[in-house]
Amino acid sequence: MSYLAYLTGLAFLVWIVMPLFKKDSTWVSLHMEVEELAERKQRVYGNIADLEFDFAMGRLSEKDFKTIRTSFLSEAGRVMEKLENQKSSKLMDRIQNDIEYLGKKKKKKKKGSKIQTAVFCTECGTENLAKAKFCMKCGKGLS
Amino acid sequence: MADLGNILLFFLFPVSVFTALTALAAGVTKRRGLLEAARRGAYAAFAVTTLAVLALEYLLVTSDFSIEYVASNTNFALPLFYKIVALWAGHNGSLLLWTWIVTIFSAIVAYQHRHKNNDLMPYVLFVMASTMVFFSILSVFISNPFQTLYQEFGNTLQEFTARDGHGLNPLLQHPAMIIHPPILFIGYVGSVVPFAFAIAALITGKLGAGWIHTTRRWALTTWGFLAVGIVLGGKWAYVELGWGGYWAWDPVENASLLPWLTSTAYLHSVMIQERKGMLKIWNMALVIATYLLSIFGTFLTRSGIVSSVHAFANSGLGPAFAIFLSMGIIFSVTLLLYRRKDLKPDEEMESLVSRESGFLFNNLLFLLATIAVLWGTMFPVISELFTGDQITVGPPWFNNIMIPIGLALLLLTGVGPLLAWRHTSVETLKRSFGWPILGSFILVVVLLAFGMRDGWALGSFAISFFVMWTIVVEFVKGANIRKKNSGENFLVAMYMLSRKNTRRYGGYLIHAAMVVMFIGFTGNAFNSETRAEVGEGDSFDLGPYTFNAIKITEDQNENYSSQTLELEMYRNDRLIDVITPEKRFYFASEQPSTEVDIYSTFREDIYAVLSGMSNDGTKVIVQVYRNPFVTMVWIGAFILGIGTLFAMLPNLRESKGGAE
Amino acid sequence: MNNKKLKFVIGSLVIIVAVIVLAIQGMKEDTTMSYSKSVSEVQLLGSRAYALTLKVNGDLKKGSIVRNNLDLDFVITEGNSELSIHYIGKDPIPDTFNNDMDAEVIVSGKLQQDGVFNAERIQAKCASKYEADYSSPEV
Repeated sequence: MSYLAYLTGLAFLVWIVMPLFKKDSTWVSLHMEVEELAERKQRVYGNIADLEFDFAMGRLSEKDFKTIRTSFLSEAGRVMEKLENQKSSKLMDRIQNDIEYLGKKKKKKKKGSKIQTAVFCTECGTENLAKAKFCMKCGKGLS
Repeated sequence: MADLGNILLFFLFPVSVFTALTALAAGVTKRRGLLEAARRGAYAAFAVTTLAVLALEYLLVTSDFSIEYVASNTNFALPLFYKIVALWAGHNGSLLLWTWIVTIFSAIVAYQHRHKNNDLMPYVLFVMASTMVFFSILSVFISNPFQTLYQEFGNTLQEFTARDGHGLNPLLQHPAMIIHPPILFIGYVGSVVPFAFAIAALITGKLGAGWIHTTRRWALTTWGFLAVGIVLGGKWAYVELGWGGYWAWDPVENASLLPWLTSTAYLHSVMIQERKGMLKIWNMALVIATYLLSIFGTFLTRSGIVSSVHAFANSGLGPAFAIFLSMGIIFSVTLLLYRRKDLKPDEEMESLVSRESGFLFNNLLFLLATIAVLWGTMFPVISELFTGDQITVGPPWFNNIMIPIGLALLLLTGVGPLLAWRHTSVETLKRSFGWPILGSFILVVVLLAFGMRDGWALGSFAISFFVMWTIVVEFVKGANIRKKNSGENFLVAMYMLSRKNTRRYGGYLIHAAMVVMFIGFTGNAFNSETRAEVGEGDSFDLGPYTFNAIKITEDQNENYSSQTLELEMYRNDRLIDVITPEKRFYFASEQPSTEVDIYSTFREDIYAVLSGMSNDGTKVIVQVYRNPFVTMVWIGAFILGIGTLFAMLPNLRESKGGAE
Repeated sequence: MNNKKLKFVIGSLVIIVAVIVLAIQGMKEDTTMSYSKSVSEVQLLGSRAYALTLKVNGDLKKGSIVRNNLDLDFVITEGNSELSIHYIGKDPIPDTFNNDMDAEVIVSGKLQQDGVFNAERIQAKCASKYEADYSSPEV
């Protein structure tokens, strides 16, 4: 009985320490600027939604609504433009790195079975299932 | 079983140290293997602690009185149910519960984020594991619940088994006691998650709103548990302590209120950061303060530096907590200072009459409330330090400050949500506030006509009325607009509307709950009471009620003996109820206990206490309180819980597409 | 500092000052503040004691409790010092309070010129009930 307990404990211990001895890869952080832009985009969208709600509820005059809305829209435009420029260049190395790691892991586990490569969100870098249509974190459409 | 429990608990220490170190290493090297090991460490800590808790439960249920904790908190005659919950009845066991909840939360966080937030997670796990290290030191080395009983025999210490235990403190033998401590603990401990993410954000420099979004549900859950836990504590005091009230500004009550105040402030101020990119430092500070105040609350309960009805006896943990607390403060403040340049606001305040300015004043008031409560609670310590006299400030001092602050906050609850972001024109203000203000005025006039003269109560009722009106209008107006656009019927429109923005409408629900609770608080202005010495057949009055003492009975079971008074309650010569206040004497603990009887309606509680025997033993002394609106406090807390749950539902998305 | 900021600062200052005023105004020696003293310390206070609200802690003198209808009188001690207490409060007397008990008592109220302490609240602490000896062990 007590041997069984010791063995379970030992197995558990091995399981915890095991990842330390695995030959593994490192992850690459998402570039700060991209995250910042994504956040700014979210903020502008949130602001526009709130503004429209406030206006519908009669909390601000039409004049105020129009001026504020225009400024938000142009801000949104600016952010989107910057995001487009950033995305392609900075993200590639990270995605490359992650896919390589995942490919290795999956191949080891299930040989022969269909390989499910994850899809990375171009917006926030979250891993999503291959069949996912939208990113589970930020809701951006995945292709 | 005790040895096994001890070994398991002992393992928590190396496991949490391992987790903290590998997590830190993972953060520096960004190696996946290290992070995975840290994650498994968190799972292991959870497993080990869970088994230790089960071991203690086994000892409690089987009444193993060779264990000190079991012997001091249970006895043979105790019902099984109370034996189980005795896990958190005493100091050592409740500390184990605390530790257990920390490990549960760490495991959950580790699992939730196993595929994401790789940059933050190492430091998140590091912070949580460090908390575990601290608590494992406490429960293994200082307050070990598996400690065996010792007795001196001649010159040697020998283990022995007590014949029977001392039993559970009678004050704790009540159903509310069972859920109150764990709920409050979850509230306390939950604050570690947002704190860990905030610290991780500070260390990694990812200072955007990412950590806020990730921890939104945690912050909200914690807040809800804390709120419900505080009210349950009040409920417990109300039915169990027998002094007719539920809140006395007792140090331990205050200690639970403090983190609630700061986290309420935080839930509001994050909205400014989300919409305007301002108050980044402030939000960090609030999250850090909430966590540290939670630790401080635990410290206050156990250190014996202030005396309180709720506190555990002086447990010798004071210095350990003081060290941990000061380390936490130094560490977080240093980090904040180090990052202060990166936390610059993106925008500026635009107008005094705007939503953000409403939030700003809300935060100022919450901050002042926190400082005031902290000051009042610690005043005995502060005054002794500076004057040598230990001076306690009483409930009137707290009321003097907190009633105005509370009412100002309540007023903001009504005003704030009706202000638009950035800029609100005066004209729209008139439209939004005209009718509600007029309505409250009429209410005040009516109440004055009925003879109500208490200024604070009048103000409170007027503000409550105003706020409730604005909240109802928000729902109705929103539903009407939606109805017009979508063609749904009114109720469907209201449901869809609130499901599409659960955070906003859950928030309104919580605001409404606060209004209901404030009506309950205001009832205190009209409390009345009487005391009488009665024998069988005697009667006395309180307000419109007449009470007839019919019978005094004595009874006994294996757990306690009791003395019960049957009291007929008449209003306008009509029998309403028979209330039976009781006094018990528990054998195991040799402690008497008062069982109050409460006749409760929406309008008022009639609260009867059997406070003692007269000298000759033929008569009993009975105390009757008449407390208006107390039920509103419990109902409000219930609505608050519902509102919190609602705010946590994911937003419903419509296929038509929209901003989000 | 621009105009908008000034408005916020003024608004905040008004609130802060108001709260500070409330805090100071609430600190009244005779009502809201109470001085924690032991029995012997009360006697050292001299005539100053009459003006203050006191929280006095001491041990209940066994057998000193006298009840007369709703009135309650008893004596608390500390070493050789004694203090007579007359209970004038409305709240029920704590459960732990009776003549046979070793209880530590905290009374809050005021000392009268005749040397009797008028207590409005009584808190009784049972002498560490839960840490008492475990008698008659079964080894």
